[in-house]
Amino acid sequence: MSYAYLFKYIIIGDTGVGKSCLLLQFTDKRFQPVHDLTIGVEFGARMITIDSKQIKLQIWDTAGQEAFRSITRSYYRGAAGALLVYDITRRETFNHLTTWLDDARQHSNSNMVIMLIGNKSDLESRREVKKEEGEAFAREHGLVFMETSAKTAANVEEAFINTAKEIYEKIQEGVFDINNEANGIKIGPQHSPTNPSLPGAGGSSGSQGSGCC
Amino acid sequence: MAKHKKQCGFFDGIIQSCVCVSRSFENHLTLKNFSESTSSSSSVTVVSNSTNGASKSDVNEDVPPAIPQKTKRKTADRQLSPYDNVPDEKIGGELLVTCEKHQSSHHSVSNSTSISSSMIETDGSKPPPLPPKKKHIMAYMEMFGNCTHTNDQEFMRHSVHMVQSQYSTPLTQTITAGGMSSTQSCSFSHSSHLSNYSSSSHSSATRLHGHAVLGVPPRSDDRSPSPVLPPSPLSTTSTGGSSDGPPPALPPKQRPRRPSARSPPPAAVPPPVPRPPPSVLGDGESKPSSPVVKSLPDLLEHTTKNDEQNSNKASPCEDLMEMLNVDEYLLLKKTDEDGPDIRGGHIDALIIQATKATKNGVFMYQEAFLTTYRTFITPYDLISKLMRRYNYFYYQPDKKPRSREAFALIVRVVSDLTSLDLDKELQLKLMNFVQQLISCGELTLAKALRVKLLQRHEAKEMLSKYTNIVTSLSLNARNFTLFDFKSEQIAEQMTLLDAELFMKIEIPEVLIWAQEQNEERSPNLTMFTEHFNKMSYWARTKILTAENKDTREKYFTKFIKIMKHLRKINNFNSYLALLSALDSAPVRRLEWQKQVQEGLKEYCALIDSSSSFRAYRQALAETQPPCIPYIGLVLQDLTFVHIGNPNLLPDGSINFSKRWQQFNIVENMKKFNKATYTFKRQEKIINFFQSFNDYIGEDAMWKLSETIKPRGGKKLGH
Repeated sequence: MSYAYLFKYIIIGDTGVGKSCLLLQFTDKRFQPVHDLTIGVEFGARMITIDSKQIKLQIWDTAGQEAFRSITRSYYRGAAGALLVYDITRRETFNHLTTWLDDARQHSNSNMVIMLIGNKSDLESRREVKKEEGEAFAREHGLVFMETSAKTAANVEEAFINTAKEIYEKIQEGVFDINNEANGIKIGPQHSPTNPSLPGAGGSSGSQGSGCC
Repeated sequence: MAKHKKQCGFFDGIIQSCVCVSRSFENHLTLKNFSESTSSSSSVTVVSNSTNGASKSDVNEDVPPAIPQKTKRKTADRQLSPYDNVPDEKIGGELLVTCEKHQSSHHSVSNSTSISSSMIETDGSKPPPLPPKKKHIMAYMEMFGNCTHTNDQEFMRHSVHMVQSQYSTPLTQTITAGGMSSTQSCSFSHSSHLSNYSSSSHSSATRLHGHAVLGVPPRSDDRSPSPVLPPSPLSTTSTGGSSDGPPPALPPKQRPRRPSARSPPPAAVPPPVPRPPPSVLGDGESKPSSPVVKSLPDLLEHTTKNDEQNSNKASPCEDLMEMLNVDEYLLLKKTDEDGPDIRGGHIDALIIQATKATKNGVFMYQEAFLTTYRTFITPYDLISKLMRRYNYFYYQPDKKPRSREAFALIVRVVSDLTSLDLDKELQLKLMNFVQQLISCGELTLAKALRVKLLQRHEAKEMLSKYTNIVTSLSLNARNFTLFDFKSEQIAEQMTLLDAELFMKIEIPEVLIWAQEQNEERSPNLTMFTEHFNKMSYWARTKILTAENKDTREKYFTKFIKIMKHLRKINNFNSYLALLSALDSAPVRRLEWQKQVQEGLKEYCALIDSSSSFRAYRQALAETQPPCIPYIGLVLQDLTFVHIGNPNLLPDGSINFSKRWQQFNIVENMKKFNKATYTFKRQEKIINFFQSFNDYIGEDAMWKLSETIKPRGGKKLGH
């Protein structure tokens, strides 16, 4: 499907905070069986519309690879947005936020939009982290904040879309260099002469002027 | 650490539980070894002739029966309680006598007892001829290896024959003579003696242990536990840990038996038969609930619930295991669907289906079942259910094959048990079952199962030993630098280390990890990932701590060269570890020569994450073993499959489609787990690696990086 932009996201946070469930909820599809393992499946991708433009969100979830921490860090780099997730029923996941944030900031480009997410808001009775605490943390570190429930889908759409909006605004403001793919943004195929399907290094959206949109 | 301890503890337990077994084996073994020199099969005469110390001692104890024991009678033989010290020549002579008696008639009891007791006492001074237990086990295994049957299949076939033949001639000695093969007949007669012997021999205190054990094996019918394991250690432990039916039951049973034991052992066998199922069943029943929950909390959480559901709605679970046709409890694919037939079903139905591996198209299903069953039932419960099925059909002549199938699957399950699976409880359960088989005269089956069991046990033991070696390796020798070795050699040695750890990973660990990230339950996988991370940090450290720019670049280039070789020999693991080092933020942000930087790009392409690592997946698909894949991706795939698919179908039965997916993912990994690298190990280089423990923390890396190139420099790495 054609899109104007592609934004790469990462989802980070402690094991078990529901990262993959958020993604699953958002992309709204079961992960399909991978019968032919040579064909990669893009697990977390979905189109959204902002400002009447089609935008493809490609969400990079490191679930399962967390133990290979030396490598997962390197995924941060190519991301335009990050969802930093903690679990409102487990205080320690909130306490680890600083570490995650440092990590993300160190390894990513400085313009990356980070959204703080307190997940599992459906488990009010087991809440250990007050909503105000999340808000305070976000304010202090310049993040956007939201509580979600991957289970009931509350605020899940909003979390992803609001992040996309921020990124989009930054593009409009010229903050993002959309020609540098390391920033996690790609211009859609019809907007660019280069071949975006080339994996990796070769796939930079290249020489085209940034002004297309 | 904890792990190790556990293992040790476990091992002790096993040893305890094995004591009887191993003891009994000892006789066996010695006999075996002995006989091996002469001939494999047990000819009574041979044994008796032999004057070998060890054999003698064994013989002494069992005196009368000693000869025949080799093949069939393990349990009986081993009784020799105090490590057999060898008596003197005269003993040998006596032995001979007894043996002869033996052959001629079955009632050597009185003689044998007296002999044995006296011998023991005299023997005391002699050095123990037997090697440490472990060796015994190994010897035992060896002997089995040499033994008539070479592979499982043969065992199975034999077993069938045996079953049938026995069935036809259900009783007593006739079996020995008629139904059994020549070797077997010997052992049987022997066993009968033993039992007699034991029952009468209680007099001497020292002997008691041995006797008890001795006597037990032959008759233990339903309650095998008692015979096999000395009630004391095992029962206590097992009860403490969790429910264990057998232990408590044992003491009582044994007593009643004794009187009956008198009768010829073979005869005793059939009697127990009548209700073996109940006993086994009982075990199975009691265990399922508690241990399951305990051992597989996350995995089985849902499943257990569902199970209950099912039992309510569908039918009593027990019945299922006794049913011939369970198709109605299976969910098959619709005719227009692709893929495997079985999509889901009741747990029991899935199990039963897995026993039908000989049927067309079921083979792959069985493989998938064996690979993934831990996600919905514990090995213990699975084996319990299979035992129940085995026992249930055992007594129905026309349905014997069902029984045999169940047994065959038990053997498969046992041979695939991981070190963690094989806990005390399970060990006990299996030993008891072996015991039961023996007492039923199913010696071939018993052997088949026991061999597998011992192999697993051995493997477990090896594992812990190996681990220690590896960790102890890294001492001294740090005069070398990376530049003292050829890139190719470094790549090879890294690969050897990787391979060592990779081979240890057991597939169930990987499945479990994707579901619950439990380091204790995935110890080998955890070691492997740690190794990966250390390698990466080690490489970063080498670069960042280099004294000047030139050296730094030299390191960078060297690592690229090593990666080139790693790629050549299909070691994606180390390849990625190094790549992640060169590509890590603190390293990458430094200024590198264009050339160097460009070189790296090419390497990065391999793990470009777009389209879910399409480049890497393709490369992997084209790779022939040996190969060490990047397991992170396997874990990720499994994680997605796990999160994206429910464990249960809407009706509460097991969603087997999910298991097929899991199976397909790990199969791909299994393929690479078999082939080995043949590089020669070079200690110099291995030592140089120092297990990659020599690295600095991430903060320190950043500091170094920023010292080299202060922050705020406009240029990013590229």
